[in-house]
Amino acid sequence: MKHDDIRHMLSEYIDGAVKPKQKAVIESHLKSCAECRNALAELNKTIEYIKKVEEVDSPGWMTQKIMAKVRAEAQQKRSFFHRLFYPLASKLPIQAVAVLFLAVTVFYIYQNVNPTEKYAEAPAFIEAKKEPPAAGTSMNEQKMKRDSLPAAKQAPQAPGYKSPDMKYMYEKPAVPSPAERKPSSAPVEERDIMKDKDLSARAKKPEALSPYAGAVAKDEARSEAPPSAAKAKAMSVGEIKEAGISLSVIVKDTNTAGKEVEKAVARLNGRIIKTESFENKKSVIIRLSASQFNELVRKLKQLGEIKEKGLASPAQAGDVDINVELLKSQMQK
Amino acid sequence: MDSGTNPGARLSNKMIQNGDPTTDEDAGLVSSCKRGDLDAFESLVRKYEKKMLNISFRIAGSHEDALEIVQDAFVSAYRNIKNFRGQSRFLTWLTAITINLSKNRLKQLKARHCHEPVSMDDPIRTEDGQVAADPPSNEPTVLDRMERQDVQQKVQDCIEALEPDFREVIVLRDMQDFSYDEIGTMLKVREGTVKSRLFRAREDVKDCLKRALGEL
Repeated sequence: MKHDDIRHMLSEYIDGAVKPKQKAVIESHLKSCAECRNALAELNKTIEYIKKVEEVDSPGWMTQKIMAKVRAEAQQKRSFFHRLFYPLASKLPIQAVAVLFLAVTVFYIYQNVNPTEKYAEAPAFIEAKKEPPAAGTSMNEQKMKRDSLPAAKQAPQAPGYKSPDMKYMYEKPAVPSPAERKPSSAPVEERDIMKDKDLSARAKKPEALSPYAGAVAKDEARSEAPPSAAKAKAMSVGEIKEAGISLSVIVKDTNTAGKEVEKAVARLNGRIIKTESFENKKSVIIRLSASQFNELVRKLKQLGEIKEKGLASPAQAGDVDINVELLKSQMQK
Repeated sequence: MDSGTNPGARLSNKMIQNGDPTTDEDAGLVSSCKRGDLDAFESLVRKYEKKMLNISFRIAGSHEDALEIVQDAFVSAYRNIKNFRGQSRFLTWLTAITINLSKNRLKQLKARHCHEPVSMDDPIRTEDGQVAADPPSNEPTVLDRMERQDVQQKVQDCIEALEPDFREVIVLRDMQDFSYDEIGTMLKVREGTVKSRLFRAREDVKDCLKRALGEL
């Protein structure tokens, strides 16, 4: 090793960080080199000075201040874990509020959406109602329809109940093709019957449901109809609305005439959907092929005088619903 | 020790010296800290706060800064103690944190001084608002100041006059007695680099002291 190399290794030599072989070489060189010996002495002295530098003391508050910061850090960490893994402590109020909000929202949506869904599956029976009146519709029949709308409008509704008329009032009448109506006819019939029962039950207790029912009857009375007839009309508002064609037949005996109508309907391959009997009136709702309508009218003429007629003849093919009201002849006197 | 050994051998050597947890007297306390024992951590704070303060003070040069650096270093150590895998002594790991923070503080101070507008003509104001007497003579050099201070302060000034890379090795080796290997681990440099830096740092301090004291 050269002098300069040994000179550079003196620092390591002082720390004892040289290999034994190197150490021997350095020590041998130091014996013969005064400059290196002097450099070594100065280095030792320098290190001695450095080591003698007194250490500064940490202030008494240092530990407490550090630990205060560390505890704050630990608390922060714990809070984070608390939020993640201890839901009951912190999440419960949030969850409770969320569930409550969800429940209220679902209830609100159900209240608003449910009626729409009900009408989305409009039965064929009601679809028939939407058809525009044929040219032969009597003025009386049209008046009955007009009367039914304000009555339905004015009547306050039971909670959750939405008048089917609302749909008719705002929706454009659509004429479904027979092909479209046929597949849905079978399940719809049952619903129709249920709905008719519901409506008739409501018609039987108009006061209970509608405080304005009396006003409707009053209007009817103003149209110079006998009070009982007005009452009957008021009661059958639901049925009239539902029926596609409405006919009134004045007969001597409503029961006998009713049986005759049933026989005629059976012969014409029709079907009695509903029969309602009142004091001086019998109401029969019939579902019949449109082609058989004239035959039914002819049969009804045999039973008595046809007073009212919703449609002279159904315009469309397929089945039609006909509301036949058999009125006792004495009532008209 | 040869600085030219291959890194793999050097690493395994380091693992033997620094990585064996049984050689670390703080291993038990560190394990307790990892389990969230704050008392164990407080023991470590009490044990090492003075050492860290001195290292930081010698490197950063400011006692106020050093106090803040040490607090930050311990908080950082607590925050990361779960990541400490015992590949070195806890003290080595803690010192590395302190040195890094001290060096960062130095950089910040340097950047601040660089951006501070300095007027050559403004009078120097003392703490009580009076204009200080501006000596017409020579600019107060490090040597001039050292003449008025005692030996210890002169040594400190000489160390402060070193470049940070050289300053930290002399502080760690001659003041804190860390091994070359540990210094290499802390500073993430090879052992040979530690040796050469230390040689140059000692030579510079020696020259500085010779100038300041006349002779050693």
